[in-house]
Amino acid sequence: MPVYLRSRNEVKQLDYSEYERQRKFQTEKLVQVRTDELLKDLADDHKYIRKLRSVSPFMYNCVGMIFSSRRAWIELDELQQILDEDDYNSIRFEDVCAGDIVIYTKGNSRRHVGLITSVERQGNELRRVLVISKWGADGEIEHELNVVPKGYGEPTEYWSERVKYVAW
Amino acid sequence: MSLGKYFSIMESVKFEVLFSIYSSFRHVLAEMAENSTLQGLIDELLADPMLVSEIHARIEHLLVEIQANGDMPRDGCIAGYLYCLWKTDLAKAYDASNEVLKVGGLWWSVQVALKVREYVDEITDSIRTSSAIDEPTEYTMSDRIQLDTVGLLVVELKADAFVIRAEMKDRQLTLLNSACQDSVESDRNEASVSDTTLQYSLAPTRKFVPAVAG
Repeated sequence: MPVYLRSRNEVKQLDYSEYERQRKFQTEKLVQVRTDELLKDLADDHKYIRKLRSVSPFMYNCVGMIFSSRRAWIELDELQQILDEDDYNSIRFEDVCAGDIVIYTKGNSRRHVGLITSVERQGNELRRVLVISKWGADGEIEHELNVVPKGYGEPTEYWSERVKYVAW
Repeated sequence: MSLGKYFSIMESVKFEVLFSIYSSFRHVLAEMAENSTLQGLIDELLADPMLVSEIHARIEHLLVEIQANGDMPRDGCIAGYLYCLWKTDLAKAYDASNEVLKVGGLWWSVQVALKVREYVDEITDSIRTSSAIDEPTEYTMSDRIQLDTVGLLVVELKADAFVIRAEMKDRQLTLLNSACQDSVESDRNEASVSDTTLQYSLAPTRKFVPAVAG
């Protein structure tokens, strides 16, 4: 289904309709099995998520979770257009608050995007940042900022559409 | 490592999640290019081209399984097998891609299949174009030939075709099949081309058709 930006431009999406063949691409059971494997991998590194929010078999991804209300799979290559045309600005880590966006990069490549849901501060210092993000075709997960699969790299960019973001 | 061991690794959930976490096909391709299991299998297939048919058969087996029971599609491993065929036997990869697209219901496998088809179609189109523009000079397999693009070596894609494997390194194209241990210069200097190993099929009755400049 089409996704429109504030600019009224439509976001490009993959069209799999020809290959769907009246069957879902995946089942809830399959998403659960894969997500369990990912969580096991993280636990091996002593990293634990906060909560597995959903194992929906519907094919939406991290970009689709945030920018199309879980309705679409939008490739990360479209992210910059979305940020530009939905009036997002790059912000400093110190200034993030709930509702802002974190982008994970590996090398110079953007690999993942998450929605910041909670920020705990002590004075000017950020103590804990929680994020909800959809891990590709796998589960949607509430996690600490740095608890993501290795393939996503590190959280390096923060963006907000707040007109004049609040400096804490 | 035996093929059975590769099957066991690539058909595991651990292998599946290497690709299922990604949101962009180019990240999946990057992961595949770096993945040691896939690179190992590619090396095995290059060393023993007879194994290529077994990988093709494995894809067909999995597709039948998926059609019978769509509950647990093994998208990551089919995408991985297809990637290995792409890097070792373009004709087999093309056939397998068509089978994957017929079955449908897969995610990254469909993208790999479409990429293989696009790749092969581009090559065959360029042959048609070059043949239409100029009268192609025919070369025997032992001739040294000047090429504008590597792809123009592909003349026919047939399962029973004579297989020629070529390796591109530092703008040198080396033909690796046993019938022709020749090396040819290439003009190709497109920075965007990332493949270092390419495999082509040539119908036994056909000869090389060189590229047309420009």
